[in-house]
Amino acid sequence: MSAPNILRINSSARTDGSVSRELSDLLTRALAGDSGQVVVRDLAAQPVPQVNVDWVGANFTDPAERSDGQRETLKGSDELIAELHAADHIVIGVAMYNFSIPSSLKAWIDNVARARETFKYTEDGPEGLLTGKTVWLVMASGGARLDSEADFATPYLRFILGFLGITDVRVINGMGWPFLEDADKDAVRDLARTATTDTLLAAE
Amino acid sequence: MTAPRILTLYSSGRTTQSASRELADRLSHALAGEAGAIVTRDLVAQPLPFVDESFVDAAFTPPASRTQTQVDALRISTEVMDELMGVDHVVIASPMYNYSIPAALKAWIDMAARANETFRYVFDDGDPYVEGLVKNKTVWIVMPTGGTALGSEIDFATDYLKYVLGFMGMKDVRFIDAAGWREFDEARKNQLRDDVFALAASA
Repeated sequence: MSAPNILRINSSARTDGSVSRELSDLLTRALAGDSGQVVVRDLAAQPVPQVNVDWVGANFTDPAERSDGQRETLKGSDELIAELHAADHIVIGVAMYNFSIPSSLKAWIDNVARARETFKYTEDGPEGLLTGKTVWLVMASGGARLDSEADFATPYLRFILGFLGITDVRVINGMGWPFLEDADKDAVRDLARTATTDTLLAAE
Repeated sequence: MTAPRILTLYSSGRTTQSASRELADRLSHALAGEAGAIVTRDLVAQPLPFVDESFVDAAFTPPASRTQTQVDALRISTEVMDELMGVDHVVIASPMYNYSIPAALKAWIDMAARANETFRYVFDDGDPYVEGLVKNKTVWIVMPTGGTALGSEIDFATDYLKYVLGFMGMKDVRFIDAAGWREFDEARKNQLRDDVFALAASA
């Protein structure tokens, strides 16, 4: 296989002591190997703006009829979408905040989920356009366990990424990290460190 | 009963033709009656910051040990919590964006949920548990969608809101279901507008 293009997305507000960042470092390095290209999008350091009235207006205007101002409004969103299209593997570091994803990551989702760009409407319903990609969710939480009734992050991410066409979603499970034994933490680190683009992970 | 105090939160990216804003305003005014007071917070026009490193650092420092810089890092969050604590009703205008809540509303939740302020961990003789500290409030969530039915398996908004608001102590959460609003004819829209008044009267 040729060198993979990797998009790494950080959403934890912490830089120091962030579990999702530590595991994402290991995973990204492992997936990239010697020749992979890595693009980093740090949603905490450079927050993506929330969609607002101008954005909604521009997005719902036919591309051919958009004004220069409307094209400018969507420029940031266009860049985020181009990054996604260019990637073979997408590593998303997710810190669970209040049982769901950080608002910074929801802002990213609201910017990249765009009809005609990442999904389209067909007679059979919406169809995702981000096909042939793998997402690695690096999940970290201070307590809630993966896919438990208090986990409103992972099921949502699987769904919305699938909606955009990414159905190959793999999970590095750092949930409940403070309560893990050291040996269990090391096992999670090893999983990240030894991942290859062919590694398939069970959800748990 | 004393005059009710109402906090109205807007999270729709639209300002005109926003169903959630329109219905939330109707509901808020109906709840307030003539004597009530309404405080509004527009989470889109004045976006709250996302949680950042200085916030995390300050929030996890015991209040008595916080530096002035740390207190400042929590200032907006403290304002958000004070505003919430001071009311009887919370009206949340929340459209569904990509099957979940808008980032603007998640940013509000992340500012409002703080240990020892809006919830606390209780370590007594038994198993530790969480006590929500935002009590005696009714939350009304006005939720229009582009068609997604509330309560369906692709609704990732309502169960989450019930859970996280309940976590903070707000157990009385009521939804104004405006799913598929834009497909409604005028008669159906008017019916829902009327229903909102009736709901407020029953509060």
